[in-house]
Amino acid sequence: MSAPNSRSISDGSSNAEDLYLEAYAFTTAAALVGSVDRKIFLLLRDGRNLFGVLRTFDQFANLVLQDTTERIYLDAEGSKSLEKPARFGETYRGVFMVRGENVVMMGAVDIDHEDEHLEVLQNIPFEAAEAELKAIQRERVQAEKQKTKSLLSRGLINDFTKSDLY
Amino acid sequence: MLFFSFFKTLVDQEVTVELKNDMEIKGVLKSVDQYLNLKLDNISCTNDVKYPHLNSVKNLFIRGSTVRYIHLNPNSVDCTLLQDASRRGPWFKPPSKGCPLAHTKLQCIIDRLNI
Repeated sequence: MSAPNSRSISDGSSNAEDLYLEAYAFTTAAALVGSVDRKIFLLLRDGRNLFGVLRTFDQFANLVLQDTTERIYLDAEGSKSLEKPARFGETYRGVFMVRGENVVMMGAVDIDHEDEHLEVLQNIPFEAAEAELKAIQRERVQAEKQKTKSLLSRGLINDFTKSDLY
Repeated sequence: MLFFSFFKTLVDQEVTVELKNDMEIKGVLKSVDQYLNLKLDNISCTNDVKYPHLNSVKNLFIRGSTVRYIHLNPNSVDCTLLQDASRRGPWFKPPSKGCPLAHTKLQCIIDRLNI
């Protein structure tokens, strides 16, 4: 990131945050207000990586994103794991309204550096990436089902729900 | 509200947040709210090979419901105080007269924490 740009980013957020923090210190709103109108990275509970401009939010972390792109990271071809991304696919999704319960994490992206990690990755069509990811996730759900069964037979509980694939 | 107040005292300290998907994120705690949502600054991910896209993210809002553990510096936690405070509640009446010094100190801290 170039120095002047980084200053303007942090200045902007701290001003807005200061304004809010006076009245609403330690609220969800105070934590999110600095990211409004910035490009953010959002991870959802179903494992989706979204990149878009945060337009508004509320106290439950319900969010509205504009000009969103969804990106899927995959390991090298043939690998069944998701440990070391080697390929990615992305597609334009437009406006997203996300219910807060589905949010895992979000943060403002440094737009000068956001594409750096993509340079070493291979860009593949989104549809192919999506199909491959779905297959991996299906396998994971199957494996977890087995695990739940065998744990349950020993009186133990497996902390896994199908909707949590992040 | 006890743990909310407790986390408020940890603001500006470095913590490591472990999520339910085993992801570990280290950063300076900037804010916490009633749901124990966290705002971290200057984050770094212990497994940055798996999450390269986090390299360009500097501050992160983490929803409380996805957090499994928060690793803290042991020096920043007063376990005795926390234990005593967790025993307080609507059912617990502190002795009003002749309370020992230790209790008044605790009372002071609890008042300061606004519990």
